[in-house]
Amino acid sequence: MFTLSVFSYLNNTDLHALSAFEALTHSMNLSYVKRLKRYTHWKFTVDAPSVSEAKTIVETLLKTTYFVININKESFVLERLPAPESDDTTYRYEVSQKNPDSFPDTIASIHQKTGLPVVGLAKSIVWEIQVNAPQEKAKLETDLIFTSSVKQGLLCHPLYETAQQL
Amino acid sequence: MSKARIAVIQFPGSNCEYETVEAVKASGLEGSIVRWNDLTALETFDGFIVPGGFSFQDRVRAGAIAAKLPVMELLQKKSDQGKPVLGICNGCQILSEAGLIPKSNDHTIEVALAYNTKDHEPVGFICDWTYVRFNNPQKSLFTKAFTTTDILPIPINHGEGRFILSEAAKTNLDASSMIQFCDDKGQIKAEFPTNPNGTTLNIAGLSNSKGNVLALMPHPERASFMKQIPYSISPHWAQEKRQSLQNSPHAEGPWLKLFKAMGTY
Repeated sequence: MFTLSVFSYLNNTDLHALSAFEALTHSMNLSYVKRLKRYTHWKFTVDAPSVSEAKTIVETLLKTTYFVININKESFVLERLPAPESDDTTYRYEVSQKNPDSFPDTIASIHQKTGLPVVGLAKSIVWEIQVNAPQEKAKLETDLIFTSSVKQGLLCHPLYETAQQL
Repeated sequence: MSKARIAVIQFPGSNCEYETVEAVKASGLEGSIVRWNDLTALETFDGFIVPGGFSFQDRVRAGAIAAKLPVMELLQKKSDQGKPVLGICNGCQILSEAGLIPKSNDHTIEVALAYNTKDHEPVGFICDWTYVRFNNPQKSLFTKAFTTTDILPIPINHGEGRFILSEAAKTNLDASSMIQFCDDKGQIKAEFPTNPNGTTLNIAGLSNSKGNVLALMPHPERASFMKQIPYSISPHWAQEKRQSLQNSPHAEGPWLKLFKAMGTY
């Protein structure tokens, strides 16, 4: 049994990231934020005899079905996030549900339609935040991450989500 | 005496503004749909409704983007002045994300509307009729015309309607009017389907402590006329509907007085 990470992202404009960026920079006046990118982090648990076979199974699933991502408009990378697209200071935060979805219906459909041995699936969001100068962790988390008021925090609601810096 | 002027605030992605403004007008008030960025116009109104829909496509979280806009600072100011503010469904999510409930004059965020669950597992979008009853109805101008013995049908239509409260908010619930999901006998049971979305304490709606802001996940504008109540919901309500429709095709439904209350502040 192996668990593999997949990071998917939209090929074209990500309106979630665009709106979040607009809210942070215009409504919340956080002018030090330069760019925001959003990845969906999928964790596949696969019943396979080796890591390489598990990778092949996950790639087959993602490239030949629409159960998890839409390959027409999304791309993905296995295991590691791509390097940031610029040299600006970059922070990454992973936001997860405290009570996460285990996608039992999706897993059942994958078994029924493809026979691929996927036995577990989990999802979280990774926000990649590029800023114009290094920021203290506490300030970054108060300003951008943990929502506490109209003017503070956006990307994680601490009452039902958790966030950790990667 | 002039009618109270109520603004139904239309965000990009709102989709319940027209039926909401019909309920406002039927309740004897003057209702207008006003765009979220027309702050000059909004300043002139006596009360405000944030209607249902999917503002900004629920990007990041339901209500999260709308809650950061300048219009919410205006609503904070108006609510601090005592003006009535009602949030329905997505409007409930927006008011929660903006900290307008449950505290008054301190708009820290104490409430979340998380995705629906059934038996602690995510259950997805729910579209159904439910029953609710009232706890502390006298604490809010919106609910003071209702009683603790009222058991009323009301539709829900949401994917994220599960109230989660901070520990501080839980300890101060007595200061608020609370609308809770119940069964058709008025029993408040934590289990599905009486509690349709896993919400804390069966909460369907919650006021601020001052009583002039109400955030409500179900849709009162869809139960404001008897013609909107389905015959199938119960023999009692089917009978009520038949009798009232004999008098008028637009007979008042169980929730119109929630809108009427906006003229009484």
